[in-house]
Amino acid sequence: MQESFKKLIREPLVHFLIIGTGLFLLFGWGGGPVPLPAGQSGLPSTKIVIAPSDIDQMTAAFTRTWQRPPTETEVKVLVDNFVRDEIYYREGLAIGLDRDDSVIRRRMRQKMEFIFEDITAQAEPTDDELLAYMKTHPDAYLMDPQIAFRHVYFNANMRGKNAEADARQILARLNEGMDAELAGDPFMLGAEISLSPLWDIRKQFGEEFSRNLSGLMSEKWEGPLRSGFGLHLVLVIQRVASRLPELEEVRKTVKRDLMAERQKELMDAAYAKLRDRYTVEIERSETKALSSAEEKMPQGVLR
Amino acid sequence: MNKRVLSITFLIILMVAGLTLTAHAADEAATDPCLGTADHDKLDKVFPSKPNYSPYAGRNFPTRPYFGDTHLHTSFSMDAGAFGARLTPRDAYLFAKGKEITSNTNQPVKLSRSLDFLVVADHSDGMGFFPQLMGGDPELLTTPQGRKWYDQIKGGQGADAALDIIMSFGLGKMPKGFPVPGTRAYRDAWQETIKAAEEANDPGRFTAFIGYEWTSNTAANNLHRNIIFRDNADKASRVEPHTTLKPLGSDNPADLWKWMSAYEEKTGGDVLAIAHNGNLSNGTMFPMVEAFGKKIDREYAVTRAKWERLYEMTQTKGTGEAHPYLSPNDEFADFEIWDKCNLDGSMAKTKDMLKFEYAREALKNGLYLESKLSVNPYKFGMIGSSDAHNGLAAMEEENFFGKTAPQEPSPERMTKTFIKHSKTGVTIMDWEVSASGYAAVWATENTREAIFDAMQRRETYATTGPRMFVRFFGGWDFEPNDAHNRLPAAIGYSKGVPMGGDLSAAPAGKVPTFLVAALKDPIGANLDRIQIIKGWLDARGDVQEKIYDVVWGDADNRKFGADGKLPSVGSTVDAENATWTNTIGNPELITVWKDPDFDAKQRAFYYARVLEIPTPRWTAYDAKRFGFKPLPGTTMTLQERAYTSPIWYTP
Repeated sequence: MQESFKKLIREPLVHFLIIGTGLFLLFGWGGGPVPLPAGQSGLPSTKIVIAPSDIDQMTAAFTRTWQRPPTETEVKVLVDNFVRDEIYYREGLAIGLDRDDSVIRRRMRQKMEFIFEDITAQAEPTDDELLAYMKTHPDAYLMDPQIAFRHVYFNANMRGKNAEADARQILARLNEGMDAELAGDPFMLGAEISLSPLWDIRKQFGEEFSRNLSGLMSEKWEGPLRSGFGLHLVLVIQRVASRLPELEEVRKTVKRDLMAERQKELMDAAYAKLRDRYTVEIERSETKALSSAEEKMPQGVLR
Repeated sequence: MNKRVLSITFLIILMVAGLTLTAHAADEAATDPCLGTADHDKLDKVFPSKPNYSPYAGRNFPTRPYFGDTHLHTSFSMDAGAFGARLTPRDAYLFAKGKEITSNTNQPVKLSRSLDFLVVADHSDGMGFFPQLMGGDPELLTTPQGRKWYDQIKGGQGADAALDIIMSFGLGKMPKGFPVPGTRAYRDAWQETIKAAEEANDPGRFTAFIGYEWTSNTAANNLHRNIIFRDNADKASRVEPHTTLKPLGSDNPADLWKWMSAYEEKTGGDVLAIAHNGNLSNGTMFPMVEAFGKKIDREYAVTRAKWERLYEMTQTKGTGEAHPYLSPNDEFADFEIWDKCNLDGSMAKTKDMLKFEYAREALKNGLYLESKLSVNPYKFGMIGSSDAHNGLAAMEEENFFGKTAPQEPSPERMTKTFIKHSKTGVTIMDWEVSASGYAAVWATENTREAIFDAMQRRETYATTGPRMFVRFFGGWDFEPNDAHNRLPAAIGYSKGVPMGGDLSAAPAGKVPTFLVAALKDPIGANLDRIQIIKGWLDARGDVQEKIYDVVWGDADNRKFGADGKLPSVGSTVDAENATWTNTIGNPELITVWKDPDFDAKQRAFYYARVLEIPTPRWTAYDAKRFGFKPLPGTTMTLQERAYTSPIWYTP
């Protein structure tokens, strides 16, 4: 008997029921400040009205998902399900199941932020504003230099210590007119790289190589330059200097960045106004006093 | 109002149902005019018998792989939000493009280099009514409130307008006719997701795909699929994602395929599905007999093969290529294995489930089914992706930002529990989460269309994080000398089919030959070896597999031993300091390999596995950077790898 009782009190369902009953007793059926649908007040209504517009909406959602309208039976299922959702929702709210639920809290915050975000999206920036934003953030829009080059690869792993000496020897001969096709080792990415922005070359050959490549100014074979793969002799064929783009070339990006900045400002401002309506008292146990640094943490920052 | 109620309820159920994803794919039978063959034909024209003088002219095959993630969640996914994700799809795209951003736990974070493409694959739901207010309805502007808000917003007083609107709404004092949350005008997160992808998409430089995850998770058996659109917003926004929750949705993949078909029919667009985490499906990902009460028949095979041409076989929740129990002779099969349970730990794994969960086994079983149904339902290519739930596709060992927001870098992630189920006793620790992986796609250019098309023809490979370049071609006439060609790709495409393609009708006396090459990640570790894995259906109708080491690093002093095994490449890892050196292995490996055991009457597939030399696992970097002692048994080193899509041989 005692064993089974012990077992019983370890059951999560039993915990749940006890907590649920506790909440019920604490807040009572419909007592306390239970949130209600807009425009209503008092006890949770036991009347559920399904308006034609609700059915239209369910039908539309079904149609968008299934690419066809629901049959009559399916509409009935939709409505039944809707009613079931609604009843559980109301009953759940009534016993406070939404409280202390981090999922619901986060979702609510997200929805509030959606509203703020939508508001930002309404004010289209003018060209002047976009240009001004671009000029105050030149680094973000500066276009990388572009380089096209040929290279001869030396597999340092295969050639070992001789790789560098081999490369230097070939360098001299290349500049005397040796056919690059015949020099060095095969390389999977090919021996000719068409005009590419430096960021792209960096991605394929690594930081050190692209930095050194961008420093090459002559029209002869140079190197060897080191990459993650080995050594390369390089002949720059074409270069296009870095420049600030015209607005038309980056309009989409500038607009996105400007809107993102505005959105953040609006969210912070709207939150600050809401925050002003609240008084927050942080009660702390004496042994676990917050440090002053933590006290200064801005409100609304996720901890 | 009701809709809002519904949405919340729906999302909670979704969340409770589970929080995962994976991918998977397959294809039409070789008897169909498959893409591999079509490619070959096309390339015959590209490489006519009389070659151009310039070896570089006329190249229109893919010259580089694009790296990306087809499977990333943001705060728009309910489960991700519940874990504390705050980053939005927009943040996720910025991060993937290489921008430094602030993580969910307020840490600055940046990728070592940008990704080339990203699919934000969230669950959908949403809201939004301002576009209607501000956009279309002059009537609303005739109301004093509507007018006031409009002016405030245009005049830069958006915050005031927002609060006023919210308050009016709360008091039930909205202007008449105002579209309130819960009405049809309510924007949903799907539209927001589409918008973020449209903004981020930058053809030629970065591809932002529109997509979502369909999370079929009945009994926590993971049958998830990611859906990717080839199309832009004009088509994608004409539909809403398929869901799993009845009555609007279904948990049966066959219904998802119907949805995909209906989408294409309605819009003229293109979508594909990628399944993932068969390793958490408890024996249901690759069924052999029946699925959802229906026999696996020809129709099932045709449909699955049509929509699911790729499978996501490595990600944060484990790698699902092969299992040591199924492949006891594969010394590298025991890699980032998650084989304790289903998705939430509610049912423990039994050994008989394994053969319906792992990619190699499915490829083998696909040959068997093809012999019975004349179509192979499991003819899929390989990709890896992250399945991160924090908006951060950061899958490098030394820059791993975890699967969920609480798993972003902190000393705790070395010791905390990720999944624990009281009934089954199954426990999965945070340290078991993998910093894996990415999808590599041999596309002709970096656009939605080109990458999608390459996925459709399965010209893809999976990596566990590093960005090595891997080529794999199959044909009848490759010769050893082709490995020394200056342009292996040109030879590869002209004499064979690339990864994901098909060989059939073996010419008399010929056996399949393969040109395989790999180049290390430019900032990563050297390569240990390339292996070719062959699976086939033998004369008795049983499936078989064999692994061949075909080319390896340090070849001068690494010879096969008397036991027929290639000696280990060794290790330079100093786990305590989380360092290693490229003093072993090779930066590049290339060879031509000929199947020594070919039987022209037997169906077979071949894929390449490329192994890096050992390097520190993310746990080693954490231990070093946080000065934290790992739990006993924590894996501290690994051999990162890439897996190509197979090339199939059909008699």
